[in-house]
Amino acid sequence: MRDYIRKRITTGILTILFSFCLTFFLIRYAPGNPIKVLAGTENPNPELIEHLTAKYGLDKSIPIQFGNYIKNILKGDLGYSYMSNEPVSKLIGEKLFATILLTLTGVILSVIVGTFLGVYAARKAGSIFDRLMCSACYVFDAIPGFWLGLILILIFASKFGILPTSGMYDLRAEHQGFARVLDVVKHMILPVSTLFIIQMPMYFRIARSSVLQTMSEDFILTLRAAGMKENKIFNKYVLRNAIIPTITKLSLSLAFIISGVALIEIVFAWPGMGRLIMDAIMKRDYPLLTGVYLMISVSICVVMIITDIIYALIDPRIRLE
Amino acid sequence: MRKISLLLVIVLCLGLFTGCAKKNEVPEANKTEDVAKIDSEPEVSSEPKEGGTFIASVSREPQTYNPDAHSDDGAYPVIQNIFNKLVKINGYDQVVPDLAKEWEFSEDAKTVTFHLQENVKWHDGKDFSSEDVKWTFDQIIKEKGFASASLSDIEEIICPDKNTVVFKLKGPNSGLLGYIAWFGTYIMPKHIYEGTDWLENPANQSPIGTGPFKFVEHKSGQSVTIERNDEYWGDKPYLDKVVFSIIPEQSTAYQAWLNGETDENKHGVPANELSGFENNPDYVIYDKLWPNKGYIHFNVNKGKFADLKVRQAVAYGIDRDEIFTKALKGIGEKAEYFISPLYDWAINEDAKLPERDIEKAKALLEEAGYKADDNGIYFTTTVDTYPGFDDIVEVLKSNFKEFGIDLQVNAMDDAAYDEKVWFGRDFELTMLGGYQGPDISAIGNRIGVGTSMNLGEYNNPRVEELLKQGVILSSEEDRAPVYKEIQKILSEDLPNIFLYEKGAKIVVKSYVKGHPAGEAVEKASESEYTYIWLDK
Repeated sequence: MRDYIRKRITTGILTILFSFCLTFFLIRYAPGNPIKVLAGTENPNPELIEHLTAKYGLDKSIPIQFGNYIKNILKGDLGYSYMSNEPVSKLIGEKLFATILLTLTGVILSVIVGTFLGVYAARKAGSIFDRLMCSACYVFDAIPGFWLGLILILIFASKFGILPTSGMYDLRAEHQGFARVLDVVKHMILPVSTLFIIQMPMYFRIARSSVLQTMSEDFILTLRAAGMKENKIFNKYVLRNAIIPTITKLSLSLAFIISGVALIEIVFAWPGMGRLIMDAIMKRDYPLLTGVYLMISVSICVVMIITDIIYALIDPRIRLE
Repeated sequence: MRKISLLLVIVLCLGLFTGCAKKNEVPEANKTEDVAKIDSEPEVSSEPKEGGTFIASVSREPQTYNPDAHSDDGAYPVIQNIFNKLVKINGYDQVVPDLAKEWEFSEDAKTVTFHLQENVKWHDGKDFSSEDVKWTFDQIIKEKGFASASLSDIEEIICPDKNTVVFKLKGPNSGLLGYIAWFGTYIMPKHIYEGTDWLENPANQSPIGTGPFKFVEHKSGQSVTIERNDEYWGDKPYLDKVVFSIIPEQSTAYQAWLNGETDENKHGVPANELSGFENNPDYVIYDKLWPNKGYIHFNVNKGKFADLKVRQAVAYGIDRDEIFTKALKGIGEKAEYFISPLYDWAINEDAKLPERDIEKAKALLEEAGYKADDNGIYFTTTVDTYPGFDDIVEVLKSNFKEFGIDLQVNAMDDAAYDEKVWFGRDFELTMLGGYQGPDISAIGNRIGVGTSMNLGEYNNPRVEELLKQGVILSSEEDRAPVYKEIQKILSEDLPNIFLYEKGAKIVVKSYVKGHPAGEAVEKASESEYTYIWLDK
């Protein structure tokens, strides 16, 4: 087991290094110039562009910029955003809470409800409930989140006026204490519902199909032939085997939790990481982008390592390979 | 199974329509009522009421509140309320007093003296003086701030006393005042910035100005709050607070505004929804026209449009009426001349854009040596665009096809556009627009040699001469013939073909009084909320 973990950690670190180098060069070689963005589209001032290009070291070759970046990052310094001149770590930190609050709630709801419904549908395969859920999930799965979010706003905020349109807090009321928590919850309902509706079908289908598949395996047939009770077979043998794909999908979702959900955040004006990334891309804010990508690749690797360990605990066959 | 899916689709679509219904209902419900306030001064109501919070949605997040270092469209509405300039631009695009209560040019027009407001204090309580003005402009020039290129005619700034600033110029420049009033020239506090790197000063995130509102806080990704400056030297604001709510998506911002969560929507109302607000007593519509022409800009040195005949063909071939009605939904104006109609004193009636004549356009292409293929297409070309011209290039595409040019559209994001077109000058034709004021001489930035928006590198020595003359002269009478001749040359050389005059219909909720597009149009700059009060 210890070897298994050590191997996973080494692979994780190598993955981070590789993806860091790749993204560093990729975004800098991509067309576009952050300083021109600073100069604006109306009457951009060539003097300003020249001055700031030199100040931010963008007149140096990209490998030299890479060297400088590595030097700083070893000191724990992710650098400063070109746009606001604030530390990248601060800009990322400000968005973490809101991002995790939204995406984690969405993922947890989707995985619990989706898996539960999926398992139930699999047990009642062929029933009206099963058929209804399957077709509903196909439809939900095909809906673009961006569009769905706007429709939910139109129905619940504009038509019925029962939920706020967007944002995280009521800007007029300025609630404090518990009222503030309730306020956030109220603002979360629509974006979380959107996330839930578009993510839940995936968990439903994974759970349903993997339960169905496990139930058709030979050892289940043997257990049945041996006269074991259907409930015991299901709870003790089927579920445990069928849950692995759900964990895989869940870990993938969790890995991307800090990268946020840009489109949903944009529709609901949610102050999350997805918007930060989109802004940084549009403005070619290299230090901010590099910092964000680094954070995301680290979080992906950490979650992957933890997932691998959980696999090994649930299914001993995996750690023996 | 299929039936059930179908049912679900129908249910969802119905949801869509019930959702939309609201938008149409708002105006519908009030159509029968008699009050129509559109484009007219709202009736004078009771005394302005003090207090209240005003919430305005903005699409972009402010990055830095250093108002002069570089351009930041996100921070612009906030900055206008926190800082002052020497002179500013009002809603009619006129230069009006701000920190300078009056100013005068010397006889030789090489010196301009500003007399400053007295008893002005910075938000931190320190006294404002002419030294702050001098420091600000020196700094912009030294550190290459946004406006530095426009201020290059300033030789020296001196402060004879606390309330007077004198700008000594290298030569007469009647356009300079416009640049001082425009952008990137807000007066910054010397006592806070002196001796620091102005890009890194912490005040960039909690600005200290002299303006009508004080900065309170910026919640990342959510909102920016400013509050009334009780010590303000000028007309004191009525509002207690202004909150800028950051809503990136236009449809969401529009709904939040309709739902009453915001009082003002800086995105504006979508063009196809506008008709619903006419004749509705809950809203007032103000018409706005900027000195801002949208136009086709050619590369006059390289490629197919280096040939004047081909540019003339385009001028005859395009349908400006169709662009105005379809792409712009009738907002603004159709372009007729080579200069903004706001400078009516300088318009050359003889230099008009030609009426559409497809046969003439085709004949010109043939004169230029092109042969039509079986589909009537002479050649294929590509228009490079940055965001904002999607509808316009769609109309252009079909216009071009009608006179025999197959126009491909290469729509890029700003950064990719800059790389290819602004830096690379690798294009045949592109779309441009943007502010071309407040002084008429600003057209020089688009046709003068080596200027920042002359991407096609148009170069006409006579135009150069005239542009120089235009800024030396100061009275409209003397300047008009100069700019008329420039228009004549532009109509012959056609480096640009103007399509439309940018305008807007600004819809304001009727309980919002003293709006910068409405009652305060002469006194306030575009997003300045000093005069706003809430009548509810």
